[in-house]
Amino acid sequence: MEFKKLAMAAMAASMAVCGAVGFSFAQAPKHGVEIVVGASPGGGDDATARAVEAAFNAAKLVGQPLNVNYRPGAGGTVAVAYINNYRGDMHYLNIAALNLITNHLQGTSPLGPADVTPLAALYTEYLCFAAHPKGKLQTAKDLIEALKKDASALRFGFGTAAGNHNQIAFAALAEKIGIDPKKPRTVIFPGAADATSQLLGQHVDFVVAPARQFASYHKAGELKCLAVTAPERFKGDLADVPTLTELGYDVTAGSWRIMIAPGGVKGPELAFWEDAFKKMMDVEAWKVQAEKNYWSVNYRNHEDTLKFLEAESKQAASALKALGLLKN
Amino acid sequence: MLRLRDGNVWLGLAGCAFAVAYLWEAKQIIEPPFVQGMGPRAFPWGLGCIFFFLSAAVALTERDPMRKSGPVRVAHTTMMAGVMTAFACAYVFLLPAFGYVLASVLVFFATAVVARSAWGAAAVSAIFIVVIFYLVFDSFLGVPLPSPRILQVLNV
Amino acid sequence: MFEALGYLWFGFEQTLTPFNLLMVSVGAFLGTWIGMLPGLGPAAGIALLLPVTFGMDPISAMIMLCGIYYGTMYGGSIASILINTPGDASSVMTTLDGYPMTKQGRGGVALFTSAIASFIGGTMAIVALTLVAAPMARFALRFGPPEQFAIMLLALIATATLIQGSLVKGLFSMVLGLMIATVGLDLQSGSPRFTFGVPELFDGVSLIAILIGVFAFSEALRNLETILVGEWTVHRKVGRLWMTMEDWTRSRWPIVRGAVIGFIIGVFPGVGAMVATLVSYSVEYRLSSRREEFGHGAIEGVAGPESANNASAPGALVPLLTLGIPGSAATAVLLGALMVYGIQPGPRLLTEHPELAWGVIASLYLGNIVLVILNIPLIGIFVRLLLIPAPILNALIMLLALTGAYSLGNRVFDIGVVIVFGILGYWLRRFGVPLAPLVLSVTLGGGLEQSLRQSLSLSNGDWLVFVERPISAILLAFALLVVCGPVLSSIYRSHAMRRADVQAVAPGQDTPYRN
Repeated sequence: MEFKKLAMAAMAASMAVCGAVGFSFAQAPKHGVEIVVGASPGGGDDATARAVEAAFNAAKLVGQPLNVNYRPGAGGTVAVAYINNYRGDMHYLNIAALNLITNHLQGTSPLGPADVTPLAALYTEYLCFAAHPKGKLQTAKDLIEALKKDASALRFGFGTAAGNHNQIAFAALAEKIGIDPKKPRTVIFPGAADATSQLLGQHVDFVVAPARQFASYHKAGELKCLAVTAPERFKGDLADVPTLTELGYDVTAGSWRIMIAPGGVKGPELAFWEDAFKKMMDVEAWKVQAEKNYWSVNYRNHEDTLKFLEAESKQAASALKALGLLKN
Repeated sequence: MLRLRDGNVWLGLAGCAFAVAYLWEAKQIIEPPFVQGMGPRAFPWGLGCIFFFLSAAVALTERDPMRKSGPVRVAHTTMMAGVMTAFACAYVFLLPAFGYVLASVLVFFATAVVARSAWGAAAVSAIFIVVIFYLVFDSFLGVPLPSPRILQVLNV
Repeated sequence: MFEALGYLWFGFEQTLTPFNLLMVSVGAFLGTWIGMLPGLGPAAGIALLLPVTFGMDPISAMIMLCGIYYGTMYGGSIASILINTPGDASSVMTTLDGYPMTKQGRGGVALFTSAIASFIGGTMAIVALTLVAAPMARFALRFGPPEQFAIMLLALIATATLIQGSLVKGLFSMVLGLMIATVGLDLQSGSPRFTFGVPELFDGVSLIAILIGVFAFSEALRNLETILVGEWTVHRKVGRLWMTMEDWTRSRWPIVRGAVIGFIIGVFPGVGAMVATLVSYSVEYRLSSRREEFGHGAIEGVAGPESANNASAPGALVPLLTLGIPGSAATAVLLGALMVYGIQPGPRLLTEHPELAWGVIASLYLGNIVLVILNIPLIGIFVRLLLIPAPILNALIMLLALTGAYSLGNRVFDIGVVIVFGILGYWLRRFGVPLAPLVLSVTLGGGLEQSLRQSLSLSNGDWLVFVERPISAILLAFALLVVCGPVLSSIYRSHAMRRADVQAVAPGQDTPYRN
């Protein structure tokens, strides 16, 4: 009996030592790494992947070739399912966003945040409410007044899917104003570009999309950005656009992007990626891309990203419930 | 009225059956609470009903004067087409298991032989063409063609 | 307008360097071969070859991409004509008359006509782009959801009027296609429809996979039967490789009309090159005095759609260069490429980065010319592909279909789709159901339904919105005309014949109109 106890203690002790030692080493990738993009080339996910690839290559942070691979489909669901074929394998990265949570809550995807390993939070793309300069909405105040007076007379357009970050941002504003987010005449377009062209043609009254989409139109006077959902005003072309917080409505919603790996990546492999992404934030190539795309960089490590995802899940669940889209 | 030897009748009946299955499945579509105008169920319902009537029309009104008998006897060539389809189905499973090159060579060879190709020519062109395809798609275009998973399992 | 020409000259100065000429030639060459692969059309070709351009300066990269753009379009036509396997939705109409021409031993003529029509159509469209880009873009903005619905309805009705043979079977095929188009996650509500929990179906059944299945795979099955019965020899004739005067006379006006149609339709975002080819084909069909030849090797059926196809590419660039909005999938990839090079296209691209915008336009001219110069001599080589022994060629087509299917999403699911639709296409053909309406309505069905529902949402359920807005009212009236036209004209004709009978016949005499 005593011998058994001694043996067990010895085993436990040696495992602890091994674990500690293993954890202090970071395990670098052994062969090429695939950055999987869950959308078609030319979108925000693609730009992020390319920025990460460029930054990693510029600072030689990975030591293995990087390859960007497109697996579009079902709002990112196909890509997440794909990398989860390689559970525990550190050589697969994916760029995930709010739809990782909302797809799961809406029942579109069997996989959710609990099934993947978040590596780092990269940035938040804040959104912008835009209208046509010759339309009936000239300022954010006009928009809010119109919503309060008769929301069902307003035409609201956005891309790319029901219940995504754009609609959730509007639902958050609606909640602060005290109206039902389902009331405006809502149409969903396949992409932000379609929504923009419809707005230019005045077929809708206002559109919500990431700020980058509207920056050049606002500068040229083709469209009017009414308000942004960022915590602080942007610099550059959108500096004259007020934030919703300034106007008295505490809404900071955005489209954030995080890097994830398949579920089950832990220990030294996780440590490597955490370190790599932390270093990437200081790389010039990354910072330049972020500035150009109106990405508000806010890095979070693995632990903090987990907490962030939990908070986001709660907020998304209540917004989806208000919109009637919650299935889980 | 229903001449069972006429292929059109079979086509129409198949269409009606499909329409019924389609309409049945359409009942599963969830209408969201904020639907304005037309919901997700309306269009499928309309299409299903129209298709049912079109299929009935095909079964009842179409006459194919050239067809002597319906699909009662299956011709030899149709069976061969079925064999070729079976090869393609096998490909779906061979591809992840054996990898692109091996699976494609096998199926290419089989398809050529079914069409009465000389075995030597079929084998040589199978290898030649598949290798070219592999280089073009995988190395040049960057499409990650599957490699044999059997090798991974055997830990090669 | 004249300042536009000045800018264009400036653009040519940018592009006419030996390196750029080499790049556009390489792009056109590579693009042609890639376009021949089923499933790889312009958008996919540009996306796949995009990494090749990294490291070049933006102008050279864009020039190469333009070469690839045109190359892939031409490659798709080659595959459509020679082996009845369209590379992309925009090449589907070319199969209707191009492949029968190959079976008659006139494949070389079809390829030559396609090259010339593509060149002329593309050039006319680029000239139009140079001159009227901005006002056209502004006009296109007036196309909201009701107008989009009207255009798609018009396109569907045009499809129906082309159905030769049994109208019931043609409508059967068309409605079947519309039903297939409803599979997937509904855009407006997020509700899954007919997906059975399969995530690969959430974006709908892949259109290209359907194309490959219905055309390439079922064609391979039918070829097998032809070979086994011993009737394959017809294909072995290579024949003439150029157009005769007669061919040219028959083709020249379809080419011009196709260019106009293609450019105008290309400008409207979301409508697409396929609709352009469809409208061109139906226009040529209606205007032709030789309608019975359509579907059996009428050269107008190749010339018109090919011209429209290539004209729609500069058309799709109009909203991109003037407003920063991509007009098609291929231009969306170009937009992504521009952003990778650090350029944000927007309403000011023409004025803030004229060297880039006009460089792109100039490189389109170049790409067009280079394509014709490169590919006409190659026609002889392409046609000789048909001389491969039949069983090998057939196995090649099948491998092309299967590999192309895999390359769509890097997964095996699409191969399954190809096989299913191959079987469907095979049996539909055996039962005399035309396949073109199926494919065309699968392409249009999603947009048709979504734009209808978007219109109703925006008008708060008011169906009158379609007639209250002038553009959609005109388009719908046109559609009504197309439907009623044949009926009305046959009533008119029989009425006129009866009156002529009464006038011309004296008692006892035979009338010339009675046979």
